[in-house]
Amino acid sequence: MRDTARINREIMELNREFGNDRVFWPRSLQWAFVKDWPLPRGLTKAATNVIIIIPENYGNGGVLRDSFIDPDLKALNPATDDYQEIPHYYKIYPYQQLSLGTKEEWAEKRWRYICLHEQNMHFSIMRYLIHLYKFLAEPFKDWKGLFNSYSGR
Amino acid sequence: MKKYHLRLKESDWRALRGSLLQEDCMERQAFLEMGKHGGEDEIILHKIVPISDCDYAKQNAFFVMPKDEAVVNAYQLFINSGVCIQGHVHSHPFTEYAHLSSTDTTTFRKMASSLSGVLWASNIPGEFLCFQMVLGRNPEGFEGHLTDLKGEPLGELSDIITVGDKGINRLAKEKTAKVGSINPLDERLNRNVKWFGAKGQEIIADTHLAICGLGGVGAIVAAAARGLGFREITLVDPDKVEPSNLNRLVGARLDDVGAFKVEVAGRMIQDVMPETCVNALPVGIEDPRAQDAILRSDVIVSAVDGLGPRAELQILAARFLRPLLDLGSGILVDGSGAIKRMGSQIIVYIPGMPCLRCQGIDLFAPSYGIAAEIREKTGYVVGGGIEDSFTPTSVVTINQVVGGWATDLLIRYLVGLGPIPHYVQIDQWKGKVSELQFEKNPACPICGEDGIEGKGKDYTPPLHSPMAEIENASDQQLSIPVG
Repeated sequence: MRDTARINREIMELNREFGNDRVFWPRSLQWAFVKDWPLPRGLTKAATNVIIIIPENYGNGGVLRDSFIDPDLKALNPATDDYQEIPHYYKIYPYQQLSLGTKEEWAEKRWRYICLHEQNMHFSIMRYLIHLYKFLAEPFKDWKGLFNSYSGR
Repeated sequence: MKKYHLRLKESDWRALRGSLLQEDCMERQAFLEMGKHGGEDEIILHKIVPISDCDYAKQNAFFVMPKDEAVVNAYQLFINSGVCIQGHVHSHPFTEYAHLSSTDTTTFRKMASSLSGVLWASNIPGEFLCFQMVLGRNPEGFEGHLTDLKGEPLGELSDIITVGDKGINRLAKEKTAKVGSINPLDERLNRNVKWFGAKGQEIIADTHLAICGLGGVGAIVAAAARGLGFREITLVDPDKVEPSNLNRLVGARLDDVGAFKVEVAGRMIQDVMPETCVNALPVGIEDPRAQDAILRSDVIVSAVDGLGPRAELQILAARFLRPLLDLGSGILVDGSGAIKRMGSQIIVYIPGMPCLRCQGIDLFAPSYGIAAEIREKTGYVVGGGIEDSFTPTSVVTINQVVGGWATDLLIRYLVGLGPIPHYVQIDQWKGKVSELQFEKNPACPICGEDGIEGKGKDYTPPLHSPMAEIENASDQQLSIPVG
């Protein structure tokens, strides 16, 4: 059971921040999509599309933990000064065609799964995007204090 | 006029009366954030928004009016709360039995109208209502109305139900037994009356019990409950009887293989107590029919498999202020087949007290839904297999112990022989029983200060997306093809 009232408020917040024409979501409220979401420096692209999965019990205890971004992003590793795969991309599950229930052009693409899990169940979708931005700005830093991540497969 | 009852936590009821009816006999008031039940004529208290004495523009023994800032603050909190009813309660400390005066009604209509304006200006979607109540010195000396946003009455408050550690208490001006109640003097109930008294039997005869999960454990609870004389029992389980269930599924016969487990349990109950109304629902917890029936109940027993249904039941119990007894059991066998541990636990959630999550159950691990699908397809494995995880129990003796013990706690709670322990751990392998105590986490999203207790049904329609959705597309499922 998702809390529709909370998700509505958070989608309205995304709309205010990114504009009505860049934010999409299905009636089921299972995910929220932001088109051309701006990326920090140090990546091979200036923007990516991003889908944040809204978990089953979001607003009733469920925590944001899964998102998808463009599959071809790489990040500059300052230690080696070259562009490398971003950590927390799921390498075994890299390029997927999600069936999103729409014919929008942005849906007809492959996505890459990124697993960054919020620890606080009160954090919003916007807060997740802020954290994702922080992570992508310094993807090679140890982010354990901010996110839970899948570990030890 | 339609009758409504108000359900709230015992601790909130005490806090409300304590703050509004003080020794100085001055009128006081508070705002309430309230939820609404889906089908029942019930409103539920989510949160009290108190008004401190310094926030009154006028206050004496017969009149009280908050400052505009306090009202605006309450409106803002209401808008952000996600609930659909804003309540307004004040006291008449000069009388035992309070009544809403024409001044009260006029003032309330103005407040409802201004709230309507604020909601319109905020562009918040939803169906909003108002509630007005006055309290007298006598706990049963209340009067209240549910109204629309113009202050027009939609229904009248008939009784107040408090849910606390010592049971469920009903405050009503007119005590009436519900239709279909079983006569507590019935000979079949004689031994019950000798156990928990005639008054206790009356309570049971007016109680609706929901049992979710009718496997080995749930069937034991149903068997124990069949002769207790419940007014109504709801049974929820989508599974059918399999031959391997017959070693432990009480009430099942050889020719029941293939029948729904709820049918078997329902038959078992009505063979003994045909007056008990049985709702046998062969569906999952997420099914709206199941949720409607569960939310009409007074208390929920959860004997389901898996974290997903347990999370759903905890959410329902919290949002609608229903006590919940969660039963879990298992047996740990190592690789050589040797038994390492076997036992069970009963975790009790009483609204206002620690929830299952605060008592150690990781309810929101992604065991189902999209997150679980992702986990599965990425190869992420929950737990480590047989070496360090419990298997679902199929041991009849474990079921009998936990099912019987839980029914005992249930009865003790309902008839007021409580308080009961909130966490009972039964180590059946070593023959030890422990009672554990947990603190509520103030930041808990369920039972914490900003939790979901009392929010009721979410009436908010989803915002309309500009996205062109494919007609009849199963947008209920985000499909992730294996590739």
